[in-house]
Amino acid sequence: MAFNPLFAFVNTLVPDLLKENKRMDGREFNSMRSIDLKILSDFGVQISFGQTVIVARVSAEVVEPLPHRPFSGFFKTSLKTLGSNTDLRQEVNSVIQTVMRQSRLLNLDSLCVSVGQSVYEVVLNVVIVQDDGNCFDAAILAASCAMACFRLPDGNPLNIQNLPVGVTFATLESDGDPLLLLDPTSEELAACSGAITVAVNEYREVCSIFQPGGVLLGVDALKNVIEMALTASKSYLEVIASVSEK
Amino acid sequence: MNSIEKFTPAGLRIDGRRPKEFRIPEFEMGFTALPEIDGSVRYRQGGTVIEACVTGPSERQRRTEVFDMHTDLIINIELASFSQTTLLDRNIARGVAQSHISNLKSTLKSVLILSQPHSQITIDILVIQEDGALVAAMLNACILALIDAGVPMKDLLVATSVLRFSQNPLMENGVFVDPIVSEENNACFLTLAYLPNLKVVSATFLQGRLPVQEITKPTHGLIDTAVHACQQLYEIFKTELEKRAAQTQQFTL
Repeated sequence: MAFNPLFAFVNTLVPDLLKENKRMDGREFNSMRSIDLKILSDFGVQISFGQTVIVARVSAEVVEPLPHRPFSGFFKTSLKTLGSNTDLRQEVNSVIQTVMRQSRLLNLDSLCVSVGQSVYEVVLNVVIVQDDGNCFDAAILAASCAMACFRLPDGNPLNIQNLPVGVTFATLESDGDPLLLLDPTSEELAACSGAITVAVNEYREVCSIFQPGGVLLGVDALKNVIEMALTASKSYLEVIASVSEK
Repeated sequence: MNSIEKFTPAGLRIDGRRPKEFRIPEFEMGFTALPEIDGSVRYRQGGTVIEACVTGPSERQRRTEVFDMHTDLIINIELASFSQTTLLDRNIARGVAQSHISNLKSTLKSVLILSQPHSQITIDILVIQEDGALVAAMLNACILALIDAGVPMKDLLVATSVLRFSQNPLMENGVFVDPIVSEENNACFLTLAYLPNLKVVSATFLQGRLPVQEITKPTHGLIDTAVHACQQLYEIFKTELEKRAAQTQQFTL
């Protein structure tokens, strides 16, 4: 990677602006970009946060269950990026796995068609089309919206009530508590030391916390971030609610 | 799923521990005699056995980021195929190991002082046996190996895992510290990396679904339990390291 003078300039510009309580695109610290939702064919959903575009699609097919679990269906997730950013792919993949699969959202027993013979295998495919920061939130929101509007081959919706949304803050070291930027763009992420993603649902349950290092948060600051995430999640949850109504 | 009893009739956990009791780690630093390895540790925490070797800081091998003024951190993890109760397929072992690398890298980058340009530090981790709290044990093993290699760091990072399962008839608040694999099924699981002297949290990974007050409530919530366990673990590490320093007189704390 050759020396990029624009990159170096942005790296000094962003912290300078932040000291004056300003962000590059003029937003408040705790306001997010506008969310654009598009419903595609075959139970697909495209979510855009500014220039970040993510597409998620859910599909199901009938398979045989495992012999020792004749009631249980299967739920798989897969992530693709257009481009070869493996670090990003690893992280978003692990966040999606944690939020969608390990929080046991989908009751696998509800995917049973006939005991011991056929069950549904539900597959969630997520594609990062364009990355301008905050792929985590967009990917989780796209996945949740896709799950909300999906219908199984027999016409029923999936048996889920508590779809999660992710809230990401970029964190920058400062004299007091670290500064928190909601819904960071890729320039802000590059200039900040780290980020924390909290996934919550509408029942005030936390599905995942992902803070892989980067900035050092005090214990109270960490608890504060979780509370802020709960407040900020309301606008994302409204998007899911609007999809479920359709 | 299946309802394995989490408690014995005496009210203890299935391996005989009390809920907030963690397995005391034993470690052997500098176990390898290979001259090219700068620091190494064989780390054992109950059934979890990990070997970590550190080489560096040495000359940077990758020529791609010429203008990067920081030390490059390279982590390789290998999961032995016999490390879990069932034999692991090679590809699955590699996939699981890959998924931990980027998390470990970010966590260690936040605590190590990596300011030497054009250099790199390589950490090779071999997981010989895995019995719960893998990420926390890998972080602890890495930090001890880095101390053995003499790499500067902001504080002694300590990591623990705590777990909460939903039904809890007996023990208070249902929080287990340092779970084993059979306790990890179907539970909400938090791994926390803590810097005890700076009193800050370096990394947090939570999976599972839990009401927010169970995580943030004081003293008995997951975060406070993990921080408390990290502080106790730090005292254990500190005493051991001070003992070794007195014996070898190689470094001071």
